[in-house]
Amino acid sequence: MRKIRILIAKPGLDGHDRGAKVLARSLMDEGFEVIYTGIHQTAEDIVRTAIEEDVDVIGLSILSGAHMYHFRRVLELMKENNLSDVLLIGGGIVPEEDKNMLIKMGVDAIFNPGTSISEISSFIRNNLRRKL
Amino acid sequence: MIDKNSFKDKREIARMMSRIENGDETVSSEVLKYLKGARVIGITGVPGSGKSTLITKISTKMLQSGHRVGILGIDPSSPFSGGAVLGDRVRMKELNKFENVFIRSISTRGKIGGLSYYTTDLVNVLDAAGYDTIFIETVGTGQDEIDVFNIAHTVMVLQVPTLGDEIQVIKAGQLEIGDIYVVNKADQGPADEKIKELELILKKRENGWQPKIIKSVAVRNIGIDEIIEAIDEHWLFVKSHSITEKKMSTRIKYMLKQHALEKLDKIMESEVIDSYAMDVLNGKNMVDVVKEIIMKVGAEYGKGGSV
Repeated sequence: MRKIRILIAKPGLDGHDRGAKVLARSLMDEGFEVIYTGIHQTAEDIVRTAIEEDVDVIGLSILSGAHMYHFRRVLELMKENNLSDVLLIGGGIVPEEDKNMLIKMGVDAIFNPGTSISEISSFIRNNLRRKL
Repeated sequence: MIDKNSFKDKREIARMMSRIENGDETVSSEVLKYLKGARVIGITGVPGSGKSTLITKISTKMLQSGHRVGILGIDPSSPFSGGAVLGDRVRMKELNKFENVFIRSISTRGKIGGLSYYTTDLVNVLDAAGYDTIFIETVGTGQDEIDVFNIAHTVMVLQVPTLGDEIQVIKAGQLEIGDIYVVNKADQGPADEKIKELELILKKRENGWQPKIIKSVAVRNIGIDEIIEAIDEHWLFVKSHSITEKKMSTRIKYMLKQHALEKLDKIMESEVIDSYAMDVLNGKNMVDVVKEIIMKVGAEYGKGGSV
């Protein structure tokens, strides 16, 4: 069975990367290959990395409140680059109404604080768009 | 199937790499038809010695002068989960402004020696895709991480001034394979002493090349021009001494060995091996057991094509 590859990135001007690092490490413990890019990524950086690394999942961590903007931009670029078989998920401080809007826009899932790692990893395994 | 156009699109290149990493040997063989002969530079050194940063600084200058640069960053896989955190890109963010660079993060997937089983095949893909300068950043675990020597034309070994006394310098391993030695983070300790120690032991290589020793502070761009000069000089040396042909045959032999080893390792790590262990404990001659294991590898491989 092939390895599932996940990109974990922090877009924009948000330096709070502890959550993203903990998540990267925990997803490693779940057997995934996690490409961690660090902070201050532009949407262009993120989509380019997703292409070169041929990931199954893009995971964005946003705690700055700018989630509507960043997700919209990443979705646009994913569409432009035909990344329709890549999952886009996110985590951070996202209010319920924004969460619903993001899901409508095409984000696959938003995980709020308190979500367990097993919930995230089973979501990934159950929703992959590319066959294993 | 693969043709010339397959190498024009980054997405296709990336997909090809994934298929290779997942054991599709047909792709690995197809790629060989399109090799262009890129120069391959391996960088090794302990974790935290500055490999990613140095590659970023060197690549920036090379990209500015018109090169197309490929980078393979290798990080270890977890022996428990098989997963990995691949973090070499964190230091390479500033390369994102260039179109002509392709960076790929690789997990060792259980392989030791500093590279993954299929690193050679991935070098071949980047070469075929027209990246004329390819950097391989090894895992960075230490002294016997010398596999990269089989693939790279130029091996660069990073040292930092604060680690180890002079005994570390006379040991076998990494300090025998370097064409260029870089004492990085030179502002953080007795760099000149480190250089003196290296000068004492670094004799001319068998092929006549005298290893270079360069001081650098990669984050501040100090020493980068000198390193590029040394890389270029070594490349000229390699070409004028027909080392490239020899290297290609070494590279392909090494690649084949890794493909075979991967199959063997997989069998040896599966429960199949339990009964063989019992046989040996119960007095069966190891000559027969080892022969059986090797036959088993062949039989299993025959079944599934790519294991």
